[in-house]
Amino acid sequence: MKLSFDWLSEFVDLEGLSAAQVAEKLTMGAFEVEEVTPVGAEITGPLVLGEILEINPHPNASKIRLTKTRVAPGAEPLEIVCGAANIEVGHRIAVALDGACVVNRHDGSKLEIKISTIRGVKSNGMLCSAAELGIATDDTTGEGIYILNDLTGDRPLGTDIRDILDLKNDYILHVEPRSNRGDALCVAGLAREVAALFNRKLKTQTHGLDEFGKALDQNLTGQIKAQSQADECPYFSLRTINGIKIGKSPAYIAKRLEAMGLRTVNNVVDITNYVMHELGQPLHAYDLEKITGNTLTARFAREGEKITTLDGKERSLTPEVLVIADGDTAVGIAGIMGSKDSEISQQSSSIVLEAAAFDQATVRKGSRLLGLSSDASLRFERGVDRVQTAIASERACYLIAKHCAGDDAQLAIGDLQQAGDNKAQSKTVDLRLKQIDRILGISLDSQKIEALLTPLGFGVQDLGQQSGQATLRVSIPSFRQSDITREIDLIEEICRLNGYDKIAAIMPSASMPAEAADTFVSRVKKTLTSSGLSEAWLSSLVPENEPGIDHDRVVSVLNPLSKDHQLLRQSLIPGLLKAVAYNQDRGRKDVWMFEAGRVYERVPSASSQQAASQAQGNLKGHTGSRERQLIAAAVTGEKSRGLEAPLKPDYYLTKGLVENLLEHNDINLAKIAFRRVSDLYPWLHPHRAALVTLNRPAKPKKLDKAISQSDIQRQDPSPYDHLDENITLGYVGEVHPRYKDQVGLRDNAWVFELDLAKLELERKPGKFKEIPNTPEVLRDLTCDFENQETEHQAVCAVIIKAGGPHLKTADLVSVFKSDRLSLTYRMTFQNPAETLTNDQVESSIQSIRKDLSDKLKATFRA
Amino acid sequence: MSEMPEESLNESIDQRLEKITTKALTAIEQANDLDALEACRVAYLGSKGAFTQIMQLLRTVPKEDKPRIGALVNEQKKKIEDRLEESKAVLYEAHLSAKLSSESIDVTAPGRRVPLGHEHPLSQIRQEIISIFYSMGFSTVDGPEIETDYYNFDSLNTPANHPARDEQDTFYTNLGPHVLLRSQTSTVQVRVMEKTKPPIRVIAPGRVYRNEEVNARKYPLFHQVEGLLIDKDVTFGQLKGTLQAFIKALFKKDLNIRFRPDFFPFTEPSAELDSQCPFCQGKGCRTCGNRGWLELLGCGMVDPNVLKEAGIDPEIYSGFAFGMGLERLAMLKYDINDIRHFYTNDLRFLEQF
Ligand SMILES: [Zn+2]
Repeated sequence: MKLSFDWLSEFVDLEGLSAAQVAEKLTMGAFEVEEVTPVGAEITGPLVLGEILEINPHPNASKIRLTKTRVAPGAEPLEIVCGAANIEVGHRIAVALDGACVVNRHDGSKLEIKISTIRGVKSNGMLCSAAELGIATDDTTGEGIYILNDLTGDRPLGTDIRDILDLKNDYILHVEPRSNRGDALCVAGLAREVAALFNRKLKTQTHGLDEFGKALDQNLTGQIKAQSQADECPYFSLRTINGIKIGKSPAYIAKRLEAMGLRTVNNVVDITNYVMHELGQPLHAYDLEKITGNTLTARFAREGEKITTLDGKERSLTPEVLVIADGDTAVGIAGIMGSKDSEISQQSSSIVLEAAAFDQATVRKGSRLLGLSSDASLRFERGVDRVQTAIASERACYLIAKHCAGDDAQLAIGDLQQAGDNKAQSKTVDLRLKQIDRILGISLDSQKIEALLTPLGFGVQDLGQQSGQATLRVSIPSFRQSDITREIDLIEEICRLNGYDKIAAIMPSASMPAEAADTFVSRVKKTLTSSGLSEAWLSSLVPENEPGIDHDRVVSVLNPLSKDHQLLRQSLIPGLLKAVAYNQDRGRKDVWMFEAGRVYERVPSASSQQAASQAQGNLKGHTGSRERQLIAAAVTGEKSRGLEAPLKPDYYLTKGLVENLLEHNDINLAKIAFRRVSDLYPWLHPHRAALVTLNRPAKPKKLDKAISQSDIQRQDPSPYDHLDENITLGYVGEVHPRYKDQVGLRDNAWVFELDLAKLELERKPGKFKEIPNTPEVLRDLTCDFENQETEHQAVCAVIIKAGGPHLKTADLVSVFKSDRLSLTYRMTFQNPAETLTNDQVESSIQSIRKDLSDKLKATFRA
Repeated sequence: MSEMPEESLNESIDQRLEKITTKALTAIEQANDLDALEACRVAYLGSKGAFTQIMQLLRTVPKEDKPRIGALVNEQKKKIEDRLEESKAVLYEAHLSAKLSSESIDVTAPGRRVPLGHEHPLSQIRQEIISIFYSMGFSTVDGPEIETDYYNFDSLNTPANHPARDEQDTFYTNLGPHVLLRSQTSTVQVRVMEKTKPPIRVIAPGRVYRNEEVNARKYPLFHQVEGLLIDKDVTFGQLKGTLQAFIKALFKKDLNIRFRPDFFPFTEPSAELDSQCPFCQGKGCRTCGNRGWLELLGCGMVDPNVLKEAGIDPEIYSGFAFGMGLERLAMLKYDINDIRHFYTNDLRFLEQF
């Protein structure tokens, strides 16, 4: 909320304190002041009340006129030039004399007034507009002179304008509201804090209605009675006032409300707002003539009951919403907003002023159901002190009687009509002194605690030893009974009043060994960055038209602010390719990127039920969803290597990235098989993509444990449904040309995506094997295949199986296609125990040849 | 074969030795590269060389002359060998120096680099935070992003109708009215406390979601690191000490920091840790919204209600918790002015880290 420093000073002695000092103290006392802004102009020098005696044309200019203005009783009038059109003889105005400083109405800067000659005529000062005095008015151009006849009463000419208009400088402190401190959402509440924090005195407020003795005695017409039919309105008060004239608010009220960022409406409404900001009690004024019957009742709305609120919207109510109703109709939504029909208008002459206490949760619920909140509901939701309801009513009544009374002396103020009770309840909380030390690490004695708490209205009674512990009994003031209910609440209060800086910073005593985190993921990332890929962090919220979404398992958000953030992603690839396109659009050709991130899916209902029944009694953590962490990459464009030939991505380079990633992270490539796949995702080329799989069944039990992050007992089929999910780690492939065009890629791209949890299960850090002393034997073997579709992986598998125990490696070293497919393998043989003979190697080669020709119809050249 | 007189024969061997030696030395002298020199060696000392042939004649020398002639042969041979070595050393140096100068390259031309990628700045700072807390005994744990309102709110002393629920614009999902995208990593607190008996020291880095419009400071998802320490006799003083040590380790300098009272439903007392704005040295600027201070993280003593909810007796144990925004810390550490940079994934941004 915005807090006027000047207003605050009416409630607490701020002598010698600057706004900045108060802001600092409030900030460190739990009420953060985000900003302090000065308001009001810096107006200095001679600035007096004057009266225009004559207006004559300017001899040398048509648009400006020459006035004779008197600025002191009986004094010789001064000649002052004026360009404004709205002045008339007899107007009383503000005159800035030689040496005065006012506001430049064009840009708000400082304007210094000097005796000067304007078009050959000497001008002895300036007649001021409202803007030049730093006052906001309806005059948007700021050109008209501010006419003061209505405001000056019988003040003599020459009176300092600052004594007539409230031109004091002020500062606005922007105080962050605290969700548990409804009591401090007002000037008086913050004054209490300031008084306690600076150890200053609060000023007593007087607003006795006795001043209007005659009005109190007069016969009142149309007294409205208060009634409450709901416990959620424990206190309901009304006061009827006759003889009011609706008009503008007095300057000081208007100025303060404007400084708080509020729009001024009329004197009565402004006063209800003023008192709300001052005391924290929301008030509402109804036009008496628009009320039917003689009672206003707080009750719950009927289903479908309609009301048009002050903002002009018709709203349909439900029985959860508390309303204020006259004979039959709701005239306001309790604690939130009044109705349009009972609104105060220019013609209103009698009003009913409501001051009530409404239940926090009820107001909050109503506000949420209707999507309607107001300054009043903001306060009721945070808790309003019931005890001061009547005080606020009296204060508003006082101001209304003072500033809104009509001319014909018909002002009549009714008694306070009340329903329910607004008496303070006595509440106490016991505080064990030892607990302060235990929680805060600082010892305070009972005198210190008393000195800290008393200024905020707490009462402290020393109970001595209770169950062996020194204990204080603290009585809680009515306005703090909603946020201070436990010992720990008092400890916090003491902590902040004493100052957080008073607590010495120390390290926790005992230490304990920690487990390192995420080493696997970090290592995977390192493998990829050292291969030239940069890491992206992509949004896990994706648009509703995200490609490749399996809508049966999608998790979507119900209330997205933007259609771009509607679904939870199921793959990292669409986002990565979007990032690729983004970079390409900015002229970047080589875009090599990866992301380690989560994908999300809902678990189909069958297993969801199963999971739910297994998790009986632990439904509090059951979301019916599953999250997996994937590693994915996209590469496109040649990587320049200076003078070297550039590194050109293609399917095999991308597959190589996968192989490196696996091998560098302790996954033996012998365990991995790549299997041709098509139609897996719309972004995969049907003939240039492979699944990355294990070439043996996975270990299902272990797998479960690793991925059951959401307390789901068993993982469910993933997008690789039609394949065996247990052995599928991910995929690698070229981007489909159609997809490439759809997302606007400028060049071919290749992608892979792997499941990190599954990879981690396959990790097996190597063990040292003795380095053999025997020599390696190298042999090349070229095999020809009629079938051009023969795959390396199949050939290699046969070679390894047939090669016997001493075949160490078999690397594909050349591929040649003519009428036949020719593959050349370089094989190394080694027996660590003894040197291999030529015959031994030859016999291995023979069995390899035989198996290749039997199983894959291979032929061999001589 | 005619028998030659011994004298003349002896003389003849002497002379021939002299002659061959002289010729050999001349040839060595004239050899101007290593190959020519090697040819000399083969021609005179090789198995079919001139000197070897002379040696054949030694057999014919009378017994009494053999020692003398033998010594002479060795002497001459040594002479040739020595000269060969000398010459070889000289020619090798000459050869090397010619080779080296022919191998001159532009040493300033660019190196041949294996292209390197860059880890995302959020990854880097995340890893750094994990390491710092690891050194203080904190293990890293994880939790789901799709959560129940129980772990996101209820268990954290934030019952339905608590105004604090409104302050975090929560995303709700199609999975049911109680399932949401977590709005804070504090969800991990009760999850950990349910599974682990104190003492507990964990941090939980992770992604969180708030339903907000995208602008320079806000994005509908961002990242937090939650911390939790539960033990006997844990105090607010220890919370201050731990976080001060952390900030010093992360920023590698003593920032001017302060603990400012704040309110969170699940900690009491609660504090916001502010750092003096490094962009304006506390004078007030745009980045700090004229406050002179920047919020780094929220923290506080775990509310007894939260401990009770997790089955931990607040009369025996106490603890502190903290939560920090990764983006905020990264923006401060690397002088980044717009949160959207983190999710745009422009390589011109990523490659700066
Ligand atoms: Zn700053």
